Amino acid sequence: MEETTLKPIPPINGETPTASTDPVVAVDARSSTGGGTGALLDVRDLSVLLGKPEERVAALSAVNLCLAPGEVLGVVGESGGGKSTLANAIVGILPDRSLASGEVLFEGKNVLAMNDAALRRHHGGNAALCFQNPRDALNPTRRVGRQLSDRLSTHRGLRGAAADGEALALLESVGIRSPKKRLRAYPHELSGGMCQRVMIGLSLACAPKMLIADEPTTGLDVTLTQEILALIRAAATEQGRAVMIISHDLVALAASCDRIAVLYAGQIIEEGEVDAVICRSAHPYTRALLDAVPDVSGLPVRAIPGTMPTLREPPSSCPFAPRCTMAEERCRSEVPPDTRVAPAHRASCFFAEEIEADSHAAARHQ
Amino acid sequence: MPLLDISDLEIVYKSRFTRGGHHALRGVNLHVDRGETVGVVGESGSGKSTLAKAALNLIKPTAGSITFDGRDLSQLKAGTMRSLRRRMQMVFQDPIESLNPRRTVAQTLFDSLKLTGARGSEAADRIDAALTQMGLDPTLRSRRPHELSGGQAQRVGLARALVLDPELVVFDEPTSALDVSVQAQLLELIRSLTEDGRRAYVYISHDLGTVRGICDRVAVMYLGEILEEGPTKELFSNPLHPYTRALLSSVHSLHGACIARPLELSRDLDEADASAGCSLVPRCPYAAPDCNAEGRGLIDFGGGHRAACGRIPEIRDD
Repeated sequence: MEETTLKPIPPINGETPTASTDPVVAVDARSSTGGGTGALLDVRDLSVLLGKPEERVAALSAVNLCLAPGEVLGVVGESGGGKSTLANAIVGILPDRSLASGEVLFEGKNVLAMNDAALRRHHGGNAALCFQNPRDALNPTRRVGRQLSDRLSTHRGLRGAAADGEALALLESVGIRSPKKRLRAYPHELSGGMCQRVMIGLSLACAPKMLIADEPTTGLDVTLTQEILALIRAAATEQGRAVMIISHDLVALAASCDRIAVLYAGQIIEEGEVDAVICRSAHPYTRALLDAVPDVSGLPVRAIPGTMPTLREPPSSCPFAPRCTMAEERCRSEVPPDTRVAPAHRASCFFAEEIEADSHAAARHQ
Repeated sequence: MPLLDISDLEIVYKSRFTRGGHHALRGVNLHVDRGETVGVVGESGSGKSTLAKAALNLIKPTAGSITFDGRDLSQLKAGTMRSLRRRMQMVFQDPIESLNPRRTVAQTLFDSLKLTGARGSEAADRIDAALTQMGLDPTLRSRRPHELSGGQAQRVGLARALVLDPELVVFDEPTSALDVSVQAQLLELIRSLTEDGRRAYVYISHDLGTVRGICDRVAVMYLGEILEEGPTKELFSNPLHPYTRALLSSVHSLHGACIARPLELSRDLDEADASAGCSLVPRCPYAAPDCNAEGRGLIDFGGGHRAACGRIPEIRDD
């Protein structure tokens, strides 16, 4: 591959890069592969710095993402990759001290610029977050039914019997058996799977246009995992919501999403349709992640050496270069361009096209 | 003679809610030979961790016996048991919580080593050797658990168990709290340990993928019973019991491998299902009136492959 003269994407000032000089592969950094004009959510060049000024962490760097109603997007990555920060930015609950630049457009309105009143309507009504670890996220001192009707009365103005009826219907819709009995239960009286169902019911209580599930199946059994993911997926396929599932479990995402975005050190390093990302991975990190998953087919796992860096500032080189087996000199000195390897498949790697072709050949060989 | 032999093990926990107590284990038989890695899989509440603790005599059995190297553990005096402890060790589920937060890595390992009488520079050398063997930098020895990452803490957990050079090691979901990439690193380490062929390992997990990669033999547990047991390859390629089939069907494979004869159970696990007959009856699509009768047990299908279902000959080719 010939040397490109591409400039690194300006990471934080929100400017879009000037027309690329690379004739073949580089694309406008603002492009996400999905959504298009009908997108409900359009994240543009989102960068987030967290923490005190003296110990800043670049949690997200120049993230671009689109999501349309009825679509399920999976966001995958290791701990510390910025998955939860992305969810918080979309819902509008970033911590006070954080610095965000770029835009999070929800139906054309920038969430980052909303005032408190608008945010209150946005959070829950527009985009609802189904929190990680439901047993801790639910209030331990209030019965499940009360927690549901609290939300119904605050956001939808339902009172008394109307709220109770709606709460019952919600529990029923998320597949809880004998819902009447469970309305009177406290979270500690429910199993992990049931708590997760209640959590999903709570997030759907305000009929949001978008549902974000943060690690919905971590800590759940294999048999339950599929049922919970099916339930979340139904929110998109049957109710027409936009759904984002955050997980570190690629296998779970592969079976329940339409598209997958891979986050590494705060950057989306690959994004595309599920089949494309899994079978024709175009980034070495995605391939390493796939090799690290223990699989029932009995293939040996291959660990990724090293650990993910915590970035103090947006990267000036490929963040995966120190762990990458293919890394060359320019990987350590330049930010790789966002390369479009197929119409709906992009990866930020200098070798994206070669890796994609190689993955494809390997997958066919199997 | 197997190193660990568990026979007809019953464990009943006292419970305020269930009359007669909660039956965590109901007639479990399992043996583990030297040089062998036996996997135990099942859903939460199936009794996996109870079995692990009972195997190391950390819980007293209600009925049945556990024999380690020919000696019945429940008959031993406390002092004899203590001297046996160094020969059997456990690696726990939550890597950071299972280490004493106030003790440094070296202190934690030294506490284990005291059992062998090692002192001074000999102990220090063995601690460094154990840390290095687990892929840790010996300079970590003065850290406390909160200064370790999850992966490092679990390596310390492994070092703590292995510094005594035990004959039996029980892993209780050692990687379930870790990230995929860290998990892979630990699985490689555990795999290299199990390949030395000297020790006996019991590997408990709900993740069928990891079990397949590590174990020689697998036992499938459901509501306190072993429903199927067999060599790993055989069990994964030719699951016999409807529950094993359902369990395998619920796992998706990234590499395109399809599970033979998938099966779906009718509803969620309910502990109230445990009964004298087959406890899978309320969920099993093949359930027949006979299944409620008492006195089944594992039926041998050859090659060490056993399953607790009387209808297997009929449903085998379904």
